[in-house]
Amino acid sequence: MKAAKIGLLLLLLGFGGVVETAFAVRNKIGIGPAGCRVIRGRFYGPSFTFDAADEREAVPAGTAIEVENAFGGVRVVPGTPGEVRVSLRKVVFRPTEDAARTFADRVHVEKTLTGSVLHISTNRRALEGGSEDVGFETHLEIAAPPDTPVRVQADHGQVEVRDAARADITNSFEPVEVERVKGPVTVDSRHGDVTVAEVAGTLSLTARYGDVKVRDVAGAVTVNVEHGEITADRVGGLVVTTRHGGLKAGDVRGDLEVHGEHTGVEVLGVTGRALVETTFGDVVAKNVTGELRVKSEHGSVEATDVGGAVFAQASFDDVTLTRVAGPVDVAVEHGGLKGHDLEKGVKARVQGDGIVLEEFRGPIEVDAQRAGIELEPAGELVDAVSASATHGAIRLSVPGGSRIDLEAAAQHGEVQVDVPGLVLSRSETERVSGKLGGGGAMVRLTAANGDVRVETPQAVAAQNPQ
Amino acid sequence: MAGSVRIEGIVLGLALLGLGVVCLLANMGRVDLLTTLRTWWPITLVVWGGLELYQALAARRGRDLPAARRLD
Repeated sequence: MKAAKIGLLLLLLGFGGVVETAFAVRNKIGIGPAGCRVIRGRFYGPSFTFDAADEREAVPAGTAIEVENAFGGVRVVPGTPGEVRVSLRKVVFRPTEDAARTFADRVHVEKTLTGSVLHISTNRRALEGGSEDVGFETHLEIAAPPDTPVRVQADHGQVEVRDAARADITNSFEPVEVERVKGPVTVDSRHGDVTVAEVAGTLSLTARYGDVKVRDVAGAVTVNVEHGEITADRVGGLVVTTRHGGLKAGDVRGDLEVHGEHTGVEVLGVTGRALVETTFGDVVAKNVTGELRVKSEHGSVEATDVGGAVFAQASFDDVTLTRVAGPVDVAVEHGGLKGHDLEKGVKARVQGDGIVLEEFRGPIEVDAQRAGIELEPAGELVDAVSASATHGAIRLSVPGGSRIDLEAAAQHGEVQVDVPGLVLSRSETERVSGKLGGGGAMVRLTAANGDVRVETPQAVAAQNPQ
Repeated sequence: MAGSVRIEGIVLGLALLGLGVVCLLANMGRVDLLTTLRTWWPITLVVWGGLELYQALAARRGRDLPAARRLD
């Protein structure tokens, strides 16, 4: 019994020691204001909210507003002409309501009209510079005359700006939303999602650690994002620099330029040229009216319905092209090329996987290392074809009506020719020469360690029933 | 013995009641929990000491009472 009492006494004294130590540490350790703890840019702990009376400031037409705020949101909405109304909501992190109210009574809005700029902030600096160390948030809602130029410098609070003439926003740790701006918009955000919509001017956006959504921007859009997904729809030109994220762009009404690292790119609709460079991500581009240039390291390239030329480089994955109106130039390492309905010829160098071209027109100059080549033109051959393969076979389909000069060679392989009307001038196991239709376009097929087969489309179709 | 146990029970109940009320007020924002605990925790030592003293005096009175009766 005595031992139990001694134990209980020690427990009680230990509890008292913990309480005393906690009290002493709370007032001396510098990890955040008293009554709260700053974690990931936010206050946590008991808090009390107080709304201050609205403040109104008469302003001349065309007055811009500059808002500075930390630890609290900023919301700029359209108000009445000639007047700026400021609403302040105060959140004070103190253990008791009385203590919070006492402190909140000392927090107020500061407004200064300098020339044509109304500066709006709070007396946070003065309060933070005092001996007290209290955490508090100041949430500002500002009703400004419609189409007011707006500049916001904020930290640790959500920023919303609507119906402004122009907007310049800097923020961190919380989302940014901008809508209906008649002029240019600039956003610099860290650790928060960004949404920008319905902008008549240009957009320049920098974001870290947050997703970005942009839509309906009439001017050119420049986006620099790290560690976030980008979505852009209906923008007047788009320049993207990004890392560790992804891009989905639709209806780009101008040129597109993407520089990505560890980024997948999906583009649906570009009225202009498109340039895409990325690593460790796939590229999908559809409905590009102009020229398309793509470079993807460790990723595939898929392009469909391209009105101009296509220049594609890829590694460790395939390039797939469908319905390309312009000439095609492709280089692939450790991957292959599949093309369908290519109108103005193909120039390709491929290592590792095969080249398959169907329904193509125009001149062909292809080279495949450690892979084969299959060529099925859309109509009679009238342009030059040059195909070489090492450690792979070559197969060419020759439609009726073609006029060609054929030279086919298969080193350590066999040349097989089955085309009615082809007049052979040389026929050996490894080499065949001849003319079809009296001669015309030069067709040179060279395989090393593989066969060469030249045959009719019907024979090809019979071998590949669908 | 039974009487002393009852007193301990009453004291323990009052202590829990007081601690619960303090925590409740702290959650309601009426008091600062840490400040309140830091101010009032020694009262537990005072109450416990008083209780021990009372029990010791009661036991001594119990021993002295039969001796007095013998003298009569």
